[in-house]
Amino acid sequence: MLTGLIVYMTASFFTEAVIHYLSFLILNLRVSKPRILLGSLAVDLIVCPIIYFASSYYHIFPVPAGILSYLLDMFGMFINILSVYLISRQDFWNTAISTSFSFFIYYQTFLITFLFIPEQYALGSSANQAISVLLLLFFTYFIGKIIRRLNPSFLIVRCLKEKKQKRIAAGIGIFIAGSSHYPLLLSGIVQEYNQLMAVIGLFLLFFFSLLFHYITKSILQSETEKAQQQMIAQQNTYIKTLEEIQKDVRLYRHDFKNIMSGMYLDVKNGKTDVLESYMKHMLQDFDQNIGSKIQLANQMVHLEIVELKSLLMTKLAYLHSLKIPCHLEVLYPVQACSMRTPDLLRCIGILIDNAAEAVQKDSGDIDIMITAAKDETVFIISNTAHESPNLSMIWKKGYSTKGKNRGLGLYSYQQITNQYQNITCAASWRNQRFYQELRIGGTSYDTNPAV
Amino acid sequence: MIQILLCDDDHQIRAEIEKQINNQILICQYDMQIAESTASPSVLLNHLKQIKQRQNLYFLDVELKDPEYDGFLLGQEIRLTDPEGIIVYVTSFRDLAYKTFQYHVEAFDYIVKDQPDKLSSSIARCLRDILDRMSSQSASLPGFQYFTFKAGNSLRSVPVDDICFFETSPKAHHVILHGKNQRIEFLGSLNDIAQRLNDRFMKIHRSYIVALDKIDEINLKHNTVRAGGEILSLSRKEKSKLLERMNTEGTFRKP
Repeated sequence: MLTGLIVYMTASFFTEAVIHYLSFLILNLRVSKPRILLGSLAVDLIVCPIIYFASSYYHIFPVPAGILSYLLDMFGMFINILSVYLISRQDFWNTAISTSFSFFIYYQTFLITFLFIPEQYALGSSANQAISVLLLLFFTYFIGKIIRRLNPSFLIVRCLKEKKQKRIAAGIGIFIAGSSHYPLLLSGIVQEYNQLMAVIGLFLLFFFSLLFHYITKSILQSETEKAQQQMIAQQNTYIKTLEEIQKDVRLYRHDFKNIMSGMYLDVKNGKTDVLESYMKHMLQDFDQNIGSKIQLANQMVHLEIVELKSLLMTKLAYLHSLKIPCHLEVLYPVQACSMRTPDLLRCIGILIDNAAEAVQKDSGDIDIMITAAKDETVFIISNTAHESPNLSMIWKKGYSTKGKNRGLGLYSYQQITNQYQNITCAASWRNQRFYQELRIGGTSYDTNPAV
Repeated sequence: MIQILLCDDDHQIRAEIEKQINNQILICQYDMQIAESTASPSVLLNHLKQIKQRQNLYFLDVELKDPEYDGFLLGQEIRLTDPEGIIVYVTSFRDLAYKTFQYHVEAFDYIVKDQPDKLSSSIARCLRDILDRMSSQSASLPGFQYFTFKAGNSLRSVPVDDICFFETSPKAHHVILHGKNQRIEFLGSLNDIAQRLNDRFMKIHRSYIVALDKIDEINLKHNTVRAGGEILSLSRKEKSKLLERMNTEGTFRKP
């Protein structure tokens, strides 16, 4: 009896250690080995005697053996969650999710070790516990490597921002953790073996899809929300520009009346030279004040891809706020582009940001030219540059003239454009200007991977 | 003699431009003549196909009402047959997308036609500038060679001396030209390009054609070549050929 307990406790000490280790991996936390081992020991000392005695004397409990063993396992898991929570001091629901999933992983691994045990499994048998533990540690080592690769903590943190979703995910995690018990539990209700398996399979599938539903839903929700907000902000800037033009026109109309009456007097008195300078001044004034804004609005009208219009609006407002002179030309209506819109926006955004950065360093201006003619749309972004950028280096990941953690822009620009067979890029420097050209050909896109 | 070709579907304006150009030719004794003056782009293009002479001078209306060509598209079409011609645009719009014309058609200048009194002085100035440029170009660039290719709808020409190397793009059937201060991707194959180039170029690998005089270093141990600041692979098969070429031409300095 006592030796059995000791063997079981030694074996399950490793079990708790494995669960702790996997949980911290899923949470992407670095916890020192002594803390893991101490935590596992504490859990082991609390849980094991109870489980061992309860499963040895199951007949004195008023519940069926299957349910009892399920409850015992769940009890063990809760103590584990508590211990992981106390050690990690992370969000409780995050620990609940990670620990229940690591329990699930552990349990499946543990069941696999049954394959290698020669006789009937027994809690107190030192031989089969030794085999089981050794194999468990061996498998866990590899599973740990896989988890490090997958980096699930990123998923947990990013997808489950709301408490409610975290709770649901944790609940599903706990439910799935006990999955190995369900055949036994349900066998009391569903007698036929095939039906039983089908029911369990369906249940697990249902809960798994529920989990994914919650994870993706929260991502999509936050993403569309962000996109909508951005869109509204961009539309607002557009409306603001139009309103400004209107205001200017009203002002101008007012001035116009005064000027006209002045001119009338000049004509009456035969002062043609005064009249000439007056008119010259007026024309210049018009060009400077409203002319440039109307020019911009006129060009914007040609952009019929709403997202593109919005992007350019924001970027132009941004350039304006940095006091960077910017000139936009859209020669023909741009109705469609043979490139996925998010990719297009990303690329144009990168090119404009890069130009802005270059111009900010040593003053200059930016030209944006969009030409959609004959089945081809060409974007040209150019900026003043007193010397040529290093054309072989700018595409490399992490290259930047502005220090570390930068220089991803053109690298991802190249990654995106390389996916499209109908797109060609060019970069050139001449006459003190740097030009980036994005040429989108054809009426449909083809993103077959490069041969 | 420089041939001038004119296209504007506003007859009055065209007659006026014609008159002003002829006046300037008479006054300044320019070696030029108006070879064609038409309202129809296709007539102009036909005429261009018939005459052998290139590097002509074109005056084109931006707002042509032709169903097929407006000024921009006509300019692009002319560029395909006369890459070094000089194109001047005539427009009634002040806020013309001039930079687009400059970039895509390499427009030389533009003349605003809504002020008839200014037309004469703008044409005079424009013709003077054109002759200045032509004389400076022909003096400084005798026998200048260009490598021309199509990038999308437009024709590009790059001085052969500026080309460093050609490289296959990660996209199928695309090639990247690496030149002095430029990098252009276009549809093409290295084998076709190799045939069109002179013997200053050599295909050193299935993905590279390099200009021999642009090679900075050959690394014999790792089978690489450094040119234009980038490292290119050198195939083992071509290594000895390359070394031989470099030695006979005497351009290669042994490290």
